[in-house]
Amino acid sequence: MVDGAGDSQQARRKWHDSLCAKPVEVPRSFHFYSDADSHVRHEIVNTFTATGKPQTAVAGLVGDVYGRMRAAQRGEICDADLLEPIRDVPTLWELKWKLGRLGEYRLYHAEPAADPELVALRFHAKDVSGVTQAIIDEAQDVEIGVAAQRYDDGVKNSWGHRKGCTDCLNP
Amino acid sequence: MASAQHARSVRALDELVELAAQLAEADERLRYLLVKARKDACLSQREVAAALGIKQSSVAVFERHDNDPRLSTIRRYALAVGARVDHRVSCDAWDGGWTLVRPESRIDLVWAAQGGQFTHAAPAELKRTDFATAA
Repeated sequence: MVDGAGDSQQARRKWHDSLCAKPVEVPRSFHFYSDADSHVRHEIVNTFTATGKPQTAVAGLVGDVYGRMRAAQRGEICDADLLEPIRDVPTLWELKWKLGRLGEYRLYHAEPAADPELVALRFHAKDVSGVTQAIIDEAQDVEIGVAAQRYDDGVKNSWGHRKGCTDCLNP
Repeated sequence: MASAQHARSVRALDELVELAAQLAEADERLRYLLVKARKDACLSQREVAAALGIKQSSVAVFERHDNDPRLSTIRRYALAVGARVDHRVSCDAWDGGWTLVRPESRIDLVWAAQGGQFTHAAPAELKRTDFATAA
């Protein structure tokens, strides 16, 4: 998250408080949120499809995201530049990617710790077109708001997670 | 190689993504395990830097996940922390029936934001030199 974004609810937690930084032998479940209108797995694919790159390149970029998510599943994210607390209510975290000239990307997730242990709520390309840092922060806060809304909408049904869930990332 | 090219051309996006994820995951794990090797050896970044005749800040940069180090840099770091790095290239993903690949549930359907319908992803021409375009 950029400096200042989400300051009003800036968590006092540190990156190493996240499950993504607590190693485990059996990877944690990482569920993709979905509802009638959206699916985080598709958000990831669509974001890179929109770059206009060929299919293999798109697959490589999606793979970059999944690769880091799998590291997060194992609790092996050990870099403050990749993982940050962004909101207290609900408790949300972000994973970050810098993909060269394509720019920066963000995945907001929650950590229910059980059924599922991690849930991906919103993925997007970071919009840095704003003239000022405040405008850039505002745009990112809108995206964080989407993640928070999805968290609230999905909490009653575990965000669509179920036994033998097919909407979880392969560990 | 022709068979590999043909095999890739008929693979669905989800299979390509799975292989890409495994490749990226291996890189993530390489960095994690090298840094862990340094810490397990009770070596500070400064000590590694001193052993290699470089600045501590260079070691810190290497250890950042978003760094994209050269192979020679990985070798030097591994040498300094006493780690062995094994490389293995297997082509069974393309030639052997994808036994190593565990595709995610199919993702070659994309959500058309404007129309609000699931559609097949537009077919794209496959090229062999795309890997460099992302960086």
